[in-house]
Amino acid sequence: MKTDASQSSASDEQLVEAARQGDMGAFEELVARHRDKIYARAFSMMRNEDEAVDLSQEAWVKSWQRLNQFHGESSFGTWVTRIVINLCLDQLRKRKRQRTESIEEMDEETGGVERQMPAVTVNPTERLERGELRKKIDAALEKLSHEHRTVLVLHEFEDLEYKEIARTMDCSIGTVMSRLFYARRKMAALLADLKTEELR
Amino acid sequence: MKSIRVKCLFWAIVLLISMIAGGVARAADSLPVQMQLIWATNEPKSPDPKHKPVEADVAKLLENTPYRWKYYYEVHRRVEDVPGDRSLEKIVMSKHCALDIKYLGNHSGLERVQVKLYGDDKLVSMHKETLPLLLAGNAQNGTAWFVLIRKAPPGAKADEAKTN
Amino acid sequence: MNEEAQFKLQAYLDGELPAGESAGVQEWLARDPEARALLAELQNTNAALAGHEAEVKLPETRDFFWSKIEREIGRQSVAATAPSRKSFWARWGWRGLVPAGGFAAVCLLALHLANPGAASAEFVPELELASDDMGAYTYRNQEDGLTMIWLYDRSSAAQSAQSSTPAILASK
Repeated sequence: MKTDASQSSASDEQLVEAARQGDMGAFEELVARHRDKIYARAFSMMRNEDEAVDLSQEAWVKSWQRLNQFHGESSFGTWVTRIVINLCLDQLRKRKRQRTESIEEMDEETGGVERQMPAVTVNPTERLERGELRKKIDAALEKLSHEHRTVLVLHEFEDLEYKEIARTMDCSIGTVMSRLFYARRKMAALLADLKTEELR
Repeated sequence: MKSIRVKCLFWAIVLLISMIAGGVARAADSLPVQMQLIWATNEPKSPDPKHKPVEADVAKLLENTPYRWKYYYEVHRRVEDVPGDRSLEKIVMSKHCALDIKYLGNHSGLERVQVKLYGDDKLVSMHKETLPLLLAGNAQNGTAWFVLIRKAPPGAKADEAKTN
Repeated sequence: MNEEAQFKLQAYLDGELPAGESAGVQEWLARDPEARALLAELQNTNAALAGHEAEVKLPETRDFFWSKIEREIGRQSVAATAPSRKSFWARWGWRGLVPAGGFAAVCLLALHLANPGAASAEFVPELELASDDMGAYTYRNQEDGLTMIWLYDRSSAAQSAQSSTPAILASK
């Protein structure tokens, strides 16, 4: 392991510049700094440890190859995050093509059960301790379809606007609005411990 | 070199003429089409003893769709030569269901049709699609209807006579 | 409340409403308790999610993870610089391409004349529904080449007896 003190104190921009000149040590430092964040994003979308490790590794390799395309419009971490998100979406699309759609997936655009669900009036997370809340949110995200999960992740965690999500997910803004709305409604139900079966 | 070019040109012209001739012939083609009205239910018995379970290949096709039921019964079957230049008379599938179908030709190896679906004599929908095409919707008491339209398999006309 | 209104409320919450529409939504919220309840639910969900993403850590050591990346970068750069066998086109170049291109153009022209619909444009499936109360899902099964179109009633639950979709089968 390289523990060059000058590298650990250098900014991301300096490390990117060094990496562009072919300095693998600088790139290793960038990987070390952002690897958890990139892996976490891949895991949040794929919900599978092995796939998330493979895709985050692929994102790092791609980011090395495309370093010259990084012009600093966003932070380096955000830039690599976008790469891993695109890789995850590609993987999810491939996976979707390989299997038959389920009724639940057909319900995605039109809301399914959530269409008829009354609003959850009590804040279901009000009295939860932070760690507990995180666990509950994670468990609820696990139960969402990947389309719903992805749109929530991009909007709530990546702070993307509707049009950016539409571009990333290769769909219309209307589809983004629909998916986001029903994803939120499903989350509300899940956080309130309502099971969709109970709503039928 | 010059003679090779002349030969190439000759064969290209031959190809061109034969394709034009084929195209003209094809424009007047019709397509044998089989239409099946199917009733899907989770009940092991059809209310009408005349309804027979669908054939294995049809059942497999239906089971590969997102909406699944345990049992599929054929309500009615029709096989028609569907012309390309006009619609047939309305094809009555049941007291409630009729189809109006027109052949739109072959596109990249896929047969295209225009289908108008009528329910209780009212137009429900119009589709321009490739075959096989499955139209479907909910029926009462948690059952469903399907209309499977596909290129008629060999011997379909004879089977139709037996079935109906 | 219809979908359009629900999405508008959401866009209001997300700050994505076109300029000038916020005042209308606020007025609507002031007089409609159902809209207020839905907005509150959406706000609660957002608040719950904000900053509460689970903390996940890469389950591999720094050295091990980096070694895989380094190896892959090395492997791909070797592959990119490796001399390839001289290809067919490199060997035959434009000499072969020109007559072949001409021949292909003649074939395309022939195809176009033989089947103008197919050659001029991709076939685009069409769907028209007789009623605004109806909706349709299209599902394509690549394996069987099957297109399934599921017609449903937008206005009520699909199984409802008041379905506006005309009956196709007789009732049991």
